[in-house]
Amino acid sequence: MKHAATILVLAILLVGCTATGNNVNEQDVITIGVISSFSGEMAVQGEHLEQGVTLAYEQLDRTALTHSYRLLFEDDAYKSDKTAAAYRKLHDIDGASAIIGSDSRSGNIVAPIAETDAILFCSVASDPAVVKGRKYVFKHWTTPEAEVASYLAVVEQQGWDRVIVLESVHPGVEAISDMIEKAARERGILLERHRFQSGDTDFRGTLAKLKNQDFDAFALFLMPNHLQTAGKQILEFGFEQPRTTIEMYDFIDDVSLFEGEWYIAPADPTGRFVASFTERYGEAPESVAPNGYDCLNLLVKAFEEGGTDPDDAMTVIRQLKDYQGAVGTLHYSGSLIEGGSIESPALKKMIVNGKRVLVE
Amino acid sequence: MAVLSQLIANGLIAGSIYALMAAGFSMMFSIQRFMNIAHGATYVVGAFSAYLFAKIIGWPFWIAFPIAIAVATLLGILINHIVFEPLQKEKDKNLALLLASFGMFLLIESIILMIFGADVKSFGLPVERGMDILGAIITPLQLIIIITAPVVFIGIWLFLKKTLVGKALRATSDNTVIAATMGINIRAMTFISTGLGSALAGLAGILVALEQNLEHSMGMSAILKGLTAAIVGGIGNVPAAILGGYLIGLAENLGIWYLPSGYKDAISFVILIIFLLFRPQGFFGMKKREEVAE
Amino acid sequence: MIETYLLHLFIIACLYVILTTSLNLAIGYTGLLNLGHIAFYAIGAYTSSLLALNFGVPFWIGALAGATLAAIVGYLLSYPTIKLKGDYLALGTLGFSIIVESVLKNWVSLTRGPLGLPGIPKPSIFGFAIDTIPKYALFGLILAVLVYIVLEIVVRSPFGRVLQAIRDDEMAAKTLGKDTFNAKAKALALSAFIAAIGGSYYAHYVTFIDPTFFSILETILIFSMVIVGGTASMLGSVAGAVLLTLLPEPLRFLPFPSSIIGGMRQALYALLLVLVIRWRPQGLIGENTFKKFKNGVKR
Repeated sequence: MKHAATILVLAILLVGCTATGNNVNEQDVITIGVISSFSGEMAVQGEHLEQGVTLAYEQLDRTALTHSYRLLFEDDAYKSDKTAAAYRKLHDIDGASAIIGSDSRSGNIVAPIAETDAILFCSVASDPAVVKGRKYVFKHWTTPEAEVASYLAVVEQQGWDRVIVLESVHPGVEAISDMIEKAARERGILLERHRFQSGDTDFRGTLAKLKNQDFDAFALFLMPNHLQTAGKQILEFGFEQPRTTIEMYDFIDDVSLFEGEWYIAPADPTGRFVASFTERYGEAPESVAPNGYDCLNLLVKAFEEGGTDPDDAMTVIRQLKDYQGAVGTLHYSGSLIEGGSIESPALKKMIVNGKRVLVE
Repeated sequence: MAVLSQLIANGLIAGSIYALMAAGFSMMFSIQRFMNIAHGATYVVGAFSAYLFAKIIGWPFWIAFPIAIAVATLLGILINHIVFEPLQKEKDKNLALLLASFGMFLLIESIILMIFGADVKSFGLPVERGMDILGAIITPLQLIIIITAPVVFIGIWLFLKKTLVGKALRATSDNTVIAATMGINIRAMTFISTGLGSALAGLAGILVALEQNLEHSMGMSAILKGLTAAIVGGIGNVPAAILGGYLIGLAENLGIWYLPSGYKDAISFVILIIFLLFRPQGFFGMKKREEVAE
Repeated sequence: MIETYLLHLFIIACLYVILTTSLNLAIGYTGLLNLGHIAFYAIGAYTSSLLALNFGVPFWIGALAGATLAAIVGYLLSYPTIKLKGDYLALGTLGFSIIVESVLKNWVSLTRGPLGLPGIPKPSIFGFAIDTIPKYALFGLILAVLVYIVLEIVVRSPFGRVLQAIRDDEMAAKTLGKDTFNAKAKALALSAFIAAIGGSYYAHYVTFIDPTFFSILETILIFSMVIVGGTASMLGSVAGAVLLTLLPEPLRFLPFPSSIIGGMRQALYALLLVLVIRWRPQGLIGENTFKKFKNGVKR
């Protein structure tokens, strides 16, 4: 009985390993692989990316395409060795010609190997280290610099000089928080940072300490579950200061909690994208979904116009100008040394009647 | 001064939840004698069941919540019966049980992920400014938590001290062999302690879901805090675990008066280690010392 | 092309062999339920990476530095945990690893916190650059074999017998005049040393590390490898490491709809784990771990 169990497990493994069924040999099929976290704490990121990418894929007009495309998803469970394994599987076994990734961490793992293999890699990441010095890697995310500049412009306009930052311990947050703290200091604005680990959902201690202090506003650089809790607790405490953020109000479903607040965010997904997304999924697009959508379309465009040669395909990307993406009008910017990014502008938005609205 | 009372209030709120987790954990541990990580999954199931019944299906709270607790209870009993009981007969059971409980925890978390998706969910209760009580700001829901938990605990204390079943439970946790000789049905004791413990976890999950929000990965930190509190209070002893929960809650919240907020989680572990060093039987532990240390 | 994928898996398997066998030294042979093992792994990874990135220190020096640091920490960890047994030791060591993780995340000026350390250079040992996957696989194989041999020698030595005596009955071992504290401390130190080497090996392979490596889930994973393999032997640890590294991979080939792949694969993995433990609790290559005295003295 006990031996049977062992044999059963080994058999599953054997069958699994040899069932490399997906190995397609057709010349014309271009495989695009997507690596993200589909399980574990960061599963929400994978979910959103998958939604955006799949929508784009489904909307492709097959009759107008020279090549045919195949989309494959791999989970890395937010673990680096799994990220590398996912890439290896997509590249070595599935013959992927391009990869889409959803965060800086996996970006940093995949970028060096994609570069060596001359595989196009579209990374929805904020860390510039992902693209630095790389030919085949580009990122698609509003640059922290643009967001920071926009944010501080509004802060100065309001005449604030002390802002309390509540932040989640997370790479994307860290990057922006670092940058904004420095930039703020140069302008004589004090940004006081308080960090919260992912398991910690109680802000009341920190709020208690702030209760009778003099400051102008809150900056909530928090992941979704933190954001909702903190937003709520701030109100419960009776704070009157505005609750601002960068990007984060685009990451949650229900923004009614933040009625009347302003924030800085990448340009709104275009109306057409939002409409088809809502029709397909029954909910509004969030976080990396529009970027995933754009990444897929950009890669297809690169292969269609440049062909399957990676250098030619990348040339198409580098010449990108005034492209209508899901995140607004996109253009490519960058050099070989600093690496390339698809940038979208940072805008000021407000929550009005429970909806996100563009301001001025 | 108002800050102090606020921090104490925060400590009581957090402590109530930790105490619920610790009590349930301790109750099961006192009979089964192993660290059941799957207890964290029971907590998550309680929360999501309540969400499913109350928010998705739309039943009123007073129907949805008891059913959710029942679901959690059932789950705990089922897991124990199918996975843990058979392993209890093995010679090297401690490691195997620990690992099996981790596996069940992961399994349940994955299933919740598949069913509900990865987005953070919330009950969407209206937000209002909290009441000012002795300088501390507390919302009505938080007040409910601070009151409900001790009520539940008093109920448990009475159950353990006064009822026949409660006494049988305590006897079994003291010494299983003698208890069996006395005619106590050990299997029934296991059943009851598992059920009761799981119900407590389910309740904790529901309270947290109401007061904050839910996501599939919420279980790990809950069980870790519960474990820590149970040990700091005194393992195997339910009232001690409850007090341990409040202790940890207060310590964490008073601690971040001085420390940067990022270290909050580390505080409870430092306390844990200090206790393990100097008083491994916990604050209120009594004769269990030789089972813990030399 | 499939070879590179398989070689990558091999490289990772070697890593886990290193981590699992060293943990087994503590758990299976000395009876120390150390759940803080990944802290040593983290120390090794971060030390050699930081030294390489900031000071250009060559891999082998950085790795040895990290391993030595980890060994010292391991030795010191014995002091507070000296009195604890069983599950309590587990919890104490788990707390230790959570504290280390906290420090890694918060000490941003040193570790860049959650941003991690990208661009870690590939190792170059005495001029021989290990910069391709096949070379790294060979490197991994050599390391894993070395570690295995060293550990086998240790457990078969008189010192190893002392450890097992401590595991079986520390009181008796003390009565026989063995300095049990010293032995336990050394075992923990050696276990830490090896784990740290594993950490450096890994960091310089993926060229990027961040605190998410050293999470509780990682601890659970390595711990499962030890148990599944069976704590009775080092060979068991090798088997456990290889099995659980390979286990999730075939699941990639099962075609699930993309909306549930993450949850489904993790669920299957967890299910298989529970089934293996349920059906074969003593592990793949195991016998009773806590044996009675070998000399036939029954208790």
